[in-house]
Amino acid sequence: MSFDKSAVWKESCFPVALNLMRAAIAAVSFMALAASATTLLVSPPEQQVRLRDVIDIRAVINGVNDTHTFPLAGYDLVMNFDPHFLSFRQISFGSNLDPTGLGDYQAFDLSNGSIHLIELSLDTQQTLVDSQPSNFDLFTLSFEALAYGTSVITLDINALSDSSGNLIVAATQHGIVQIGAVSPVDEPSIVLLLLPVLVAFGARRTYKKSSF
Amino acid sequence: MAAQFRYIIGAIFIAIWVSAQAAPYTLQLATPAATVNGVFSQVSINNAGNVAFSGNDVNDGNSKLFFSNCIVPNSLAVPLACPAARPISFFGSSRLFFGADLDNFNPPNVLSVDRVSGAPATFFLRKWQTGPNLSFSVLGQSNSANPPFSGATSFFSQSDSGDVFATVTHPVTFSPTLEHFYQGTRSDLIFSTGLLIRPQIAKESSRLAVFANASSVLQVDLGNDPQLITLRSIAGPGSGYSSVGHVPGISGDGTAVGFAATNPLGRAGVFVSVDAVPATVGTFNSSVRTIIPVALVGDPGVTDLSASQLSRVAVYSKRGSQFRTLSQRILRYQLLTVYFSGTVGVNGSPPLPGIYARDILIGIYPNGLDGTSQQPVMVTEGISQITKVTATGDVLGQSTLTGGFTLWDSVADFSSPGTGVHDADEKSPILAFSAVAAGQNVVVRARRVCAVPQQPAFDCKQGGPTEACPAAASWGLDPISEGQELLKDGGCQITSIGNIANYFSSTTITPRDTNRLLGNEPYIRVAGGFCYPNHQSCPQGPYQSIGSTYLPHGDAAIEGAIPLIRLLGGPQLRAAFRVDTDVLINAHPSPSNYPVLANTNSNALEPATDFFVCNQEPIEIKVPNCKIPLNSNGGVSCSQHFVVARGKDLDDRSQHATLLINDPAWRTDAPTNLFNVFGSNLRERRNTIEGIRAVTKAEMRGNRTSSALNFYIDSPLTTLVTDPLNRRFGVDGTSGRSFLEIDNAELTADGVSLPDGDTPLTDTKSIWIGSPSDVFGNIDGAGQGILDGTYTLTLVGTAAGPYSVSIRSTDSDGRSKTRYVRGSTFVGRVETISVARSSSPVAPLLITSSSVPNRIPGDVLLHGVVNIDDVQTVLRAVGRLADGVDDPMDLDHDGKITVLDARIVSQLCTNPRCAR
Repeated sequence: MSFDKSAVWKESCFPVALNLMRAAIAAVSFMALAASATTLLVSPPEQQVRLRDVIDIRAVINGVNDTHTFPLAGYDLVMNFDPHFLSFRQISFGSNLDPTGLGDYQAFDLSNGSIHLIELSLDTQQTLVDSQPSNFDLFTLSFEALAYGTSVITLDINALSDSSGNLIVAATQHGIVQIGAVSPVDEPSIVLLLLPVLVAFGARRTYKKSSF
Repeated sequence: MAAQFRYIIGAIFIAIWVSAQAAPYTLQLATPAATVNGVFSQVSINNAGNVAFSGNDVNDGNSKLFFSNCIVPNSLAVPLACPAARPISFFGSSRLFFGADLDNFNPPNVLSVDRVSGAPATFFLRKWQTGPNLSFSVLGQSNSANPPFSGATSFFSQSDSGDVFATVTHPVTFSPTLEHFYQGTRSDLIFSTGLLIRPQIAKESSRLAVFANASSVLQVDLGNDPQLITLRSIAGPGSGYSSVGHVPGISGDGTAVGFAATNPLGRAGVFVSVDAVPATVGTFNSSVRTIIPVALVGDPGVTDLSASQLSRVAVYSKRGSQFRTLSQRILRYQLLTVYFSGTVGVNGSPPLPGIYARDILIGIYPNGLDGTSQQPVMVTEGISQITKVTATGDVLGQSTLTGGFTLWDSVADFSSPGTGVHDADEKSPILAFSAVAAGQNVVVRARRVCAVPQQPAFDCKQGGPTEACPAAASWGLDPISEGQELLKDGGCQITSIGNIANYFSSTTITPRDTNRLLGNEPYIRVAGGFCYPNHQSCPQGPYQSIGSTYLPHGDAAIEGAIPLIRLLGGPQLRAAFRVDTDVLINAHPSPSNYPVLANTNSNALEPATDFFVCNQEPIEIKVPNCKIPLNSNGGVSCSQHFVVARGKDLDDRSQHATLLINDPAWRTDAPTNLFNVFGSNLRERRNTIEGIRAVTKAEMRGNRTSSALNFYIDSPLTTLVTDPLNRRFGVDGTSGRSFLEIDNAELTADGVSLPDGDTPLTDTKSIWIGSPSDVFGNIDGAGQGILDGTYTLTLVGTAAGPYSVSIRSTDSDGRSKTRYVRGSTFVGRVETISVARSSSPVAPLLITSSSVPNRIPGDVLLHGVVNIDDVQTVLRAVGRLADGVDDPMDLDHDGKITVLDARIVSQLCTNPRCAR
């Protein structure tokens, strides 16, 4: 009976690696979130999609204008993705930096694997304080799933400006998009996560013995 | 420039392809030895390489129609895979087949004439299927009511669209009075009184070549007009050509007709008549034809061409893409390979009977030299040496060529590889002919293996059996002579063109730097030298001479280098430029080469390349010693500098090319219609290409100068700069006087310096005041350039409207600061801008104006207010470092320009929501 080592990797090691990636992202995000009251999130944090699906990824800010004193008035962000797996389709800016609907400054620049976005409100501080919620979407990006695999979605903050032109410090939480043919499944426990590894090692030892 | 390139490229590939004749054809038998005899000379080959012919099957002695299919590989290194011919007819001994003619269907059909014994004999025109089931249909039968003919000959031809022409005998007068048989869509050709015999129909067009009225060669266009069939006399009475051969041949695209004749000077020979059809066939768009001698008896080695009189002259045609010349005319190259039989000695060898070929390259202006006439004009031609396809001894020992042969037509156009054999790299004609070898009848395929140039300069250089093609050969005519004519004369002071893509933005390279690099640099002249894209023979650094004729291939492909082309001209700036490096791109597939232009247009109907800067990469043009008219009394020397052009021609036929002319020194960046703006300035002007060289990034960086002051003025204004020593440079708008008191200063307009008498069509000016010395310590002029202190820019309105000024000061470390001024003016309004600067590192650059003596916070544009223009100016600068503590955009003084600064500016706006 032949033994396919790559199959073992695909069936055992890859899920482990993926979950370790999730755990690492979650850990980093947790530590960052713990240090900051304002957070910038990729939402949803994890998506499992099929090839050629068109998906939306939102950038959500939480914890601004909580005290009705420091609304967000401008941002300069970079969203990164893996262009091997995702192809940018379109962008939709949110409305909470332009609550009056009279227009603000919006710009984005697409490069390979990243989108640079700038939005600046032209409204007064009072208008923003009065109308801006504490949690809202900054923008929504649409992507097409190009190939099987996993793309990590990260956000780099160049600057977040409050209504007075002061820097808002924020933490970020990244996301993952998995492209495959599988349906979403429940998260396994950490013990179950390790089980495929043990199986893989066991199988490998068996394979080595049979080879020599 | 592209014209230069084209000619040069043309010259190079001609030389290579002509020289590639050491073993130009491989021969292959289509018939096993001793299986067929009595082969008729009417042998046919189609675009798939299939061969059909008639002969006697030695197994039963019956006359049969034979067919051999074939697989033509995509590489010339792979031999043809062709099974032996097999019979496809099934008649008995009472039949005699008179040759065959194939179409291009799959499986193909074979047109034939056969005679059935009897009194009188009966002649049939049939079309045979070559598929698994043998069958035929009768197109015509002699002595029947319709069509009436009494006999048929071995000359017949069919097109892929179903037209059939055959030479038949008249039912009443009989032979030798010949008639034509026609079957097809043109009912007016049936029973017509014209004597059109021995036809060959172009497979890919509605044209045919025929011998007519016992004295002429005609080209017939069946056309699309149901009321009109066009007959054009090519040679015969009144043409000066006499003793015209009986079996003319036509190229597959219908544009060229080969024939044998005696020319007006009494010399017998083989000729080809070229019809300069630009893109479509179907109608003759001109009565003007050009006849090119292919071989003349008495020429070196040519002793006898009498075989051609009764042998078909086969013509292979390839048309290149159209492109625009230096003078904005449409030009197209066409390659013809003409095959003929005769007795010729090649390369000094004794004359032998055989089949020979000659390549002819022509350039055609399909729209005429004036751009509007429909009269095509041939502008240049190049004729290769005669090539031996085969001669006695080549085919199974001693051979006797029976003379008849036809040509596999292949594809007529470089850019439409949809028909014929698909071969991305190489296309090669294959011809078929019959011969008697060692007493046996054979049918032979001859395949050209030293490729006809599709990307010709490299066919002999990149793999396959063509690698050994030798260099250099002589030509009867200089194919670039017209190119020289186009390029010479007048010229210009454009001396260099460089592609600075991928290395420099147009604002990081100064004209002075580039000029300094190139200005006095010697170059090596290697007359006639070539530079192939293998890097080995492409020197970097000094100019490589092109002998005023050739631009070496491959220089643009040198990795890590920037191609620069240096032009040399006469006293006046009158130069257009074209740089066409599609061949270079094709030649060197590395993505890291630096094409100036690219040819990505695969649409055959849309002329590719010309004026394509489709990668939007800039071309840099050096314009030295120019003058700009500051007033009616004369101009001012603007010294040497470079401009950069980007853009592309969206529609070749529009005669327009929209480019961005970007002067890297003056940062003018306005859409400019080349045709309109440059108009007579740049069109119709001619240059001589002097040299080419590659410039490395390091070289360019090493020549950066420092300490400069630049003003970019986009406005209806006159400009006068006064330096700290009260020296003036520019035009005093109030008095109209011009001043040249500042050494080492330059002024240009419109991004390109115009010669005396040419008025810029837009009012963009640039003033540059340079360092008294460069980074190497060389002193310019009197040694007085930029100074520390306060400069004053005086602007006087010449019309009403807004203006903008940007001011860039560069310190001795090469770091720059830029400030902006915006305002509006009207006729006679005087505005002064004060510029306090220093060449000391990190020294502030302070700008005030007479209208705005004190800048208010957020007034980035120094226009006295804060509005959305200021906000957007800051937003465009987001991401860069502040140029110092005096940077008006860094409002939060954090050393960076960020969205925070933009938000602060938005809160400082004069009007709500930053309205203007």
